[in-house]
Amino acid sequence: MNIFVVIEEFVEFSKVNYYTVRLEYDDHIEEDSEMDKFLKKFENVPSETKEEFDDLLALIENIGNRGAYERYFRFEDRANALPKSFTKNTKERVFFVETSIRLYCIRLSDRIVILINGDVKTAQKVQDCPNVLPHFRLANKIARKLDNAIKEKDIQIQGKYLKDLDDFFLSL
Amino acid sequence: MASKYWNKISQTISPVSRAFAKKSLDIIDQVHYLLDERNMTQKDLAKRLEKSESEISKWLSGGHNITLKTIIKLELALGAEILQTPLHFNDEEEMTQGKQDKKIEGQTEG
Repeated sequence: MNIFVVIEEFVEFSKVNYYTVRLEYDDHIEEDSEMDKFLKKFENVPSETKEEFDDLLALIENIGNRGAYERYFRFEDRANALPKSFTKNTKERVFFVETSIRLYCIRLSDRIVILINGDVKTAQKVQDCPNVLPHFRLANKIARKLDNAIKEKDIQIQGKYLKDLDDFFLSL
Repeated sequence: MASKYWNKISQTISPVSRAFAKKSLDIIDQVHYLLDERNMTQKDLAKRLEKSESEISKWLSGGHNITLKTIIKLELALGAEILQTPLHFNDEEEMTQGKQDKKIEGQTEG
């Protein structure tokens, strides 16, 4: 089955335009974009996860109003992810633990980010986590294809915007 | 046009999460600014703090729950204030002034 990826605007802030993707198959188009699927997943979660989720959304919002600088993002092969990391404190020392939520994305510039999808990460290595692995793979596939499309000028970055999106799709 | 789910869910973000995101990114930006100003890299900073570079990278990442002690370590290594307390109660003159104000208040009450 062929899978096509369509890029669409998600939400615009003063400094960053966030896009997302929608998957289209031979016989149907997904009802929700990947980022909408991600948001829906966390709509009714326990309060502890809700707090982490809130922190992530606030991060997206705040980055949107200051710029999508590389230092705010985690590198995930060819793609990126948010948030970068969290710490937990004990009486004696600070040690690092990974926040359980991962949102995979593609940072195209300081002004453009494509938000994909994610989930609660349950293993240290992405390869060992069935929750996030498909999202990691999808984000990386899209990142590779998009890289070529930008090189070939099939799609162009103009400030905060991606130009010529109407006729554009990626074939996975 | 923004996603309708985003519009709905972003209205439920708690004020604490919003303030946390802002403050943590402010700290990261400030440290990066100070590093640039001093022509230092994260590697240099790691060396000064006797930490690994990856540890410093984690300290300086968005959404990171940085401790006050860590901020102080960074301030000492960079030789500049990162987190400011505007009233500066450790300032000798202001402390004295503050005590006097309290005394005056006390006298008035008495």
